[in-house]
Amino acid sequence: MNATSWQSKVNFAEMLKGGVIMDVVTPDQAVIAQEAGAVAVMALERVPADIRISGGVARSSDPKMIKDIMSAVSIPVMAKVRIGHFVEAQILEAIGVDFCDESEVLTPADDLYHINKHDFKMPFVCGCTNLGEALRRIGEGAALIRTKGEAGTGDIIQAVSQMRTLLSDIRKVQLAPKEELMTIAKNLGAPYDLILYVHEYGKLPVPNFSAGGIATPADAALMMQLGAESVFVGSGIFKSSDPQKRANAIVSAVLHYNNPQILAEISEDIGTPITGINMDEINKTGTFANRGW
Amino acid sequence: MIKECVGVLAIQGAFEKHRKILTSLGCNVILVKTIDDLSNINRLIIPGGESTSMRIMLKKHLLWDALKDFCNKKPVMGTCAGAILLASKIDYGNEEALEIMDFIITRNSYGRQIDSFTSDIAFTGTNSEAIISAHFIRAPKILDFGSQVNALASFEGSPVLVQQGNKLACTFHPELSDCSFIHSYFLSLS
Repeated sequence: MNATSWQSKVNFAEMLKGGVIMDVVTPDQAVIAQEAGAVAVMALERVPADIRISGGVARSSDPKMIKDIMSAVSIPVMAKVRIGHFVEAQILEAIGVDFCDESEVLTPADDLYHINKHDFKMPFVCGCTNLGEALRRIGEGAALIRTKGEAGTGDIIQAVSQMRTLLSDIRKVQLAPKEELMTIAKNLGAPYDLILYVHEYGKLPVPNFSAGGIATPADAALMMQLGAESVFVGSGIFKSSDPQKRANAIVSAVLHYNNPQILAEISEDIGTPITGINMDEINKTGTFANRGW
Repeated sequence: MIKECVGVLAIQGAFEKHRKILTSLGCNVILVKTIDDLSNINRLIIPGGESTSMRIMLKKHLLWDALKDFCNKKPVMGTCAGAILLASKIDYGNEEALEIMDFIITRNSYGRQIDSFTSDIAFTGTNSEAIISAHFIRAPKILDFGSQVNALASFEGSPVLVQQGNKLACTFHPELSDCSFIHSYFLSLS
């Protein structure tokens, strides 16, 4: 692994902290996102809520559609590839995508292995539901981690539970005596050197964002107060009744996440959120968060 | 000894990294998000991040004019996106700058993220010299600058660190290297 190039990818992820990354399916939506103050956009053909409804195989988007979005905005553009599909990633790198999301929202291409992300100059973000999974992805070269939540539902419960699990796992590793760390690494299925990092610094070696289920300014602020350093909002914006107002409000909510007075003001009169799917209505096999190993 | 109160604009971006370096240099750091925060500091760093997002949020939350006023009076350093905002003119779309320092800057001048790079550059100030490891991330480029502005470091013929009185603009990210040289230099300006 080339530590210098990995660090430079992490440095770029650092620039996205304290911001909102929005899913967009057209250049027009990308412009709305940029004007609302998004720090980056995620270019894809269908937002997770639509992927959930239409079913079938969800794949990486048409490069032309991604390029159109890249030329419409000056902020960084991210795009998704299927878990393990390194050729889809090669294609995204070839067109100059700024960040690649190896995403559970698309249908996995490999049931055993994720992409060796050190092979790429383009940085990767990956989802996780706990510390072991986060550190495995970082070991493979991810420069940014997001908790998966449950994309396309508008239900925040999974995002909350995963962020709490991740941070609780981190605290346990930080407080554990040194002689327990190898066994912890074994039990979590995590690289030992990264466990040592977490033990020493009490955080992941890459920024830690939240995704999957954010629908309101209060949801975004909740994830920030719980410890997320930025948020991804997928279906929550463009599946709401007034995307422009909601996009503006969610960006402001991330900035002033610990100021209830301002949160109250920006939550006013922003239309209705995504209708959503209650997590209790989805059976276990229907969840995206179970994808990834 | 009374610690100096240094602000880091915390709208978005690499503000935590700047805070870490300033704290290690013994400063009392305030993360600036509101107009009130500005009244508690003597100098300010505008960090890297996305200049478009920062401008939009500064305007939306009525911080733009107060920030401009502060930057005209007090020592200020802008890195990457921060340097873009301090410029007199942004040669990229019709984007508005704070117009604090006399230079013209263009955005994403070395390409997209896959073209980001690190290079050693030579710092040449009046009283000191140093070699600095400079991280350029979707970096802007200073195209031209006025007679009041001094270039303290250059890369491939373009200035990457410039000074005008007690103000500094840096197209790379000094907060991402282990070296605190540029932050110390900024703290010495009054």
